[in-house]
Amino acid sequence: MNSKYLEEFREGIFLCFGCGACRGIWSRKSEGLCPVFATGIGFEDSTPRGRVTVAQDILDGDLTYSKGLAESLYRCTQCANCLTLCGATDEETGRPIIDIPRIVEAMKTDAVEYGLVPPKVRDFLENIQKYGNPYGEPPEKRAKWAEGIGIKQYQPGDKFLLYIGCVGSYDTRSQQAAKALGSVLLKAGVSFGVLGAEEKCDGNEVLRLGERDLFEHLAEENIKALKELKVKSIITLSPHSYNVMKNEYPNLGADFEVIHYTQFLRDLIKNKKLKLTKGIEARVTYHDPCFLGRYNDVYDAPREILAFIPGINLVEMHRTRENSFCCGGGGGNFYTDLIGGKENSPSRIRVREALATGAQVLAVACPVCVTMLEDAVKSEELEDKLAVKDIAEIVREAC
Amino acid sequence: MRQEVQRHHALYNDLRSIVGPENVSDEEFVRRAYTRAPFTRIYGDTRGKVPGIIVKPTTTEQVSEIVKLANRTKTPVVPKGGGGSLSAFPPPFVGTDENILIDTTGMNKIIEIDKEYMRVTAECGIILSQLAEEIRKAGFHLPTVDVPIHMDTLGGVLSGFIGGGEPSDLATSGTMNKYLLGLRVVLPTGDVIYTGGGPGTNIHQSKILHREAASPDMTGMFIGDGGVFGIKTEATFEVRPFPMFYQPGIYDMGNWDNLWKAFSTLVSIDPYPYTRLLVLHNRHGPTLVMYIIRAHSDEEMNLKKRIVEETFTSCGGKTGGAEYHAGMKLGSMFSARQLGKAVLPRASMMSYFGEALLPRARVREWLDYLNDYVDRNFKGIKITERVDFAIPYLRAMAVTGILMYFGKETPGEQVKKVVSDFTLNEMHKTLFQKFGGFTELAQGIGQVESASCWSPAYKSYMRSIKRALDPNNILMPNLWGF
Repeated sequence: MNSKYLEEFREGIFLCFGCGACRGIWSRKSEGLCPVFATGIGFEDSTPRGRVTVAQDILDGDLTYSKGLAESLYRCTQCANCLTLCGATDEETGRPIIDIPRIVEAMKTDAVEYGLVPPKVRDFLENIQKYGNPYGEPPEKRAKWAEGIGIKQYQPGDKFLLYIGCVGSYDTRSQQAAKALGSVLLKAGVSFGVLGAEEKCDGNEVLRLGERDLFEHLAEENIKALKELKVKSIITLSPHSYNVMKNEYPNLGADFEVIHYTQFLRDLIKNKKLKLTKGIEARVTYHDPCFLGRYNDVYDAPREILAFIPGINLVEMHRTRENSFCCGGGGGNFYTDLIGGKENSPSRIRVREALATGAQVLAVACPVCVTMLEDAVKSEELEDKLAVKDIAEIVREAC
Repeated sequence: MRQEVQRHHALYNDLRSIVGPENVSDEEFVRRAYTRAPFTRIYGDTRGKVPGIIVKPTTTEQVSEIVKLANRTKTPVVPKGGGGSLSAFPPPFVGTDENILIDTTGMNKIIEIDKEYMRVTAECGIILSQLAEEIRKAGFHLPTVDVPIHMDTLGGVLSGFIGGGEPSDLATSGTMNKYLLGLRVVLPTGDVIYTGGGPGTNIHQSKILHREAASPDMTGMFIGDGGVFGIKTEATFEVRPFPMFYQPGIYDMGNWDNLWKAFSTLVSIDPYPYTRLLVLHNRHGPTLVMYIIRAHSDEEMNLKKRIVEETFTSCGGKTGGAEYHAGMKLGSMFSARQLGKAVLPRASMMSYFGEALLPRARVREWLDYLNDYVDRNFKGIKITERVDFAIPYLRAMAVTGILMYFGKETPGEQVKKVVSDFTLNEMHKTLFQKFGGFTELAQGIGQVESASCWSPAYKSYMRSIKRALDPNNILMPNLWGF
């Protein structure tokens, strides 16, 4: 049993000092924190430092992959908070020197190679393989969210393709965010269409979970279909789709412009193509999704949108922007929930942090975060104090 | 590559019944994750001994049950905190392959902040910075020792002097032990005691109120014990009102003699006019001293500032110029939280070369010795940063050494060889025997180095205590060579 994917990261893995700064500090509210470490569940192997130690031992030949190790690896949300905390960056390339999320991803890829993935991950991957979505739902159901609001199928000649992704298409809560975004785009007179039942999983989570072959298959199919439709620009609902289409698809031949919807709406509002006619009197705090913020440096667009809306008092949580605390849904945990944590699950910690700002609304810009955080609000019994809303829903209210 | 052997530790089921199945693991990848120390690569790749099983208790009672079980089965026990020790931990010569490693980080609660009596009681698995933040919220502070406070646990720091890294700006001049009032300790037999003037020495008193009362100071025997005499599960400290006024500063002292004269003057003043001093002497650059003053009022701050600034000025120091930026650049090298950010883009490795605890009068001599060694033995190795440093440790001692970054193009193996050759083969012998100093790697292998210099009478005394407390030699066996 070798470690062919992990080998790519050998140099960085052995540069790690093992100082442990990557875990984060519970009590420093303004600094990042590893969500797995925050749960208090697990052992040293569950911390970013521990994961690098394990990687060293694998590369040294002292340790081999096992089912237990795979379970530990799949708890990682790959939120990249550890990268912010470590901060060691190659001056020439600007890339992280010890890229822990990628190291974990490589170990997951090795685990897939050796058939060691936990059953929940296996089910997730099988559903995508069979049905094109992780829910195991028939593909035709993918278009249901758009019914009754007048959104049309994408046609060559449309200026933008609105790509919704699996969560926005199938998850009941996130469908609301997808609907809101569709309605806003229609109201602004944007030339766009959706793929409806033809849409397929973007593969971001598949790649994060280490199934590279399946990812490449999905990406190549998507790229081929989009090219046939002569798609030039894609607006994504999900930061996960945004990330993979923007950063991974070009390696497989894609040349589309990829925009996250918050960037698009921000520009529409700025250019007065979308008028916000209604004020919203509310104290609002914004949660930075990992794949929008840390992975792609999009921090300002969502805040600018909120600032445009009259009446909104935007307050920041202590852990914000590059230090934002993961909702716990990344790295496939939205589906597998291997991270666990009960009252110290990342999503429940995050809503408590939001509540501490005195906000009445927790704004998000990611269908995964919407569902994770709204479930956490229910678990914390905060329904009458804190509402979780996607920014698309807030904009719809304001226009 | 060898295959993982699927077997369970002999105490797997017993330990699960004590702490719950989720808090026990004997999987190899888990056990191995506990064997790495920061700077492992620098110090000869000496990894800690792989434990037989990991257990993560959440209460003192659970720790007691684990230790009782270990006694019944004669299984060695190794307690471990935040993993900030620079040397291999668990030490390779401690116990057997069946060792039970107790991960104390699950015991991280603050039990009480008593505003009336100005005390805090916390579990010993708490990270120091977490403790400091919570106390600060209550309007108090606990001067923490000069350690990486974001990594080290309270129990780890009390068990051994671990130096270096980033302290809080409220670091004490030496040790936080003087603020310690008492402990709750699981003895090697599994019995639980309170030390200090409190429930252990007066069964009618529920709080630990002071250090020694109607009994010897038994708290002290657990300080720096490396976990040999017991597992500390709770500690009670005196806290002080938080000093809101803050003033940092940097002086360029021109040369070492000026600097050391000022340093020696300041550490001799009672009470200390500073909360932190850091000397940075770059042999091809400035000779800087950085300080932090904390105070409770303008008047106190002004008085302290006057004493500090007049001392530096009268010794030839200058401030207000380029030394500030030079000082900030060098000072950032000492931040544990900035470690990766500061070092890796610029260097292949870094080392606190020859870091040791020396009598103040012999600091310069030690630094000269270290620098001569580097000049002679590091030929062909590019050193991108090299700075002598010294931090006061109480009045008579200083923590000192050379901080070095090595060029990115320098192979790690080459650096490792020269650094580990010195650290493992020469440093301790010279430090203890020629300089009368002490190692500060006292949490792992360094404990053995320390014990090797004990007088026969002291060693016999310690052995007797160990035998009396730990008849089955369960806790950290062989750490001190017995």
